[in-house]
Amino acid sequence: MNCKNVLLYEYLSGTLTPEEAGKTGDHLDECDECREKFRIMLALDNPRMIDRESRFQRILKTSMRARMAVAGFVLAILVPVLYSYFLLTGVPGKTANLASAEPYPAVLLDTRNSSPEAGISTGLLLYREGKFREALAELKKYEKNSDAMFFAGISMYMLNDPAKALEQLNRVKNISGKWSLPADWYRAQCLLKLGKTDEALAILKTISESKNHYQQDALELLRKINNQ
Amino acid sequence: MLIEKVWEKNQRLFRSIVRATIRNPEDVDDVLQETYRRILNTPWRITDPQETFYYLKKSVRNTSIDWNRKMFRRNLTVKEQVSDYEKLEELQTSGDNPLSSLLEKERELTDAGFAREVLNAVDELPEKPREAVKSFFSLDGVSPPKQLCAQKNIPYSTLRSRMEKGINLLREKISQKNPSPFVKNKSRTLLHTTGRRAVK
Repeated sequence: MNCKNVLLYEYLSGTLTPEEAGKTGDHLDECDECREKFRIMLALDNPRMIDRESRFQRILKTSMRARMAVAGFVLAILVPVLYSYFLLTGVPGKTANLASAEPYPAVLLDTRNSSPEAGISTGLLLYREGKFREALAELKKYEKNSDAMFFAGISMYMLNDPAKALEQLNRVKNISGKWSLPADWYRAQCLLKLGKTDEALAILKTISESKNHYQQDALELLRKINNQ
Repeated sequence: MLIEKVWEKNQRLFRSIVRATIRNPEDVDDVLQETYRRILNTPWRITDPQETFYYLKKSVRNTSIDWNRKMFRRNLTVKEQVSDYEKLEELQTSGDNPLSSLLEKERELTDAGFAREVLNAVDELPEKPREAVKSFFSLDGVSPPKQLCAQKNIPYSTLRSRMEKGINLLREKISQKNPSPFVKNKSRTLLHTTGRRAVK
């Protein structure tokens, strides 16, 4: 064996066969240079650190109980944290999906500014299930929240109470820029149900003049009204 | 018994570790014996062969270092050591305590001083060998070899060669600063020789 084919790193790692290790050891006894290199490798080798890493990794690899313990520990921390977070902030994705999946109103809920109360999510869930009365009862608790106010107004409309719905949607329009356009659309619906066609036409005309989510619906409705 | 099996299997390596660490080749068997005695006296319950290997390797190294210290102190009295210092006069005139200076020298002689020197030299290596050395020896959070190869898209053999080059460069750098304790050289001072005067 000569210096070029000595595998010092593998020798130090204990991965050589006994025969190879024997040859390498013999070479090290004779060769000062290789022994110097081996000494440098020894100085770089940190058995304590290797011990810690390998022991931990090995335990995780070999022991199902250890893996379960780690998973349990992570869950025990993660679940209460996430629960508290969503309790305080609401479930953003869920709220958006609920609202967008619902034919009425066909708008996406902007959840970035949604209420911290989780009850709003409950109200929207009821709304989505078509339980407008229960949804209204829940959403009415949050009079200062524009999301809750808006969907409470739509629930009133769905419960065939256009007068109250109109009143509610007027309030929403005054306090919330976010819900202004959807509120206008449903205000027009309410006015039509109440027989106030002129006021409804004025609102629909305003909606149809700018490019927005309700423009096509507004134009179509205007056409229908004009044809009648 | 697992410890015995692992000891038996890696005895050649342990012998090389002792040989590379202590300064008197005649003491190798004594150190190995002392290590084995210590290991068997320790109620160490390990079931994994790999873990046992690391534990034994660490024990061999620690015992070798202790042995160096012991020999250094046993074989040289303060008076003898002081007489061997070329800079004795400097020590005396500077007002330093010769004993504390000796202890400092002893620390430098043992692996702590050497390891520090090696680690400092690693940082002075060119980028590629430095990265390879750090990868193979798990230094400074550099990824392990296989991961690093995947990240850099290079074969393992290339990284292995770079590490080898890095070790060669380290050897050159360190031997320039500090002559090898293994190379016989009559002009060396006592500090670069074995703890036993007989060898000198």
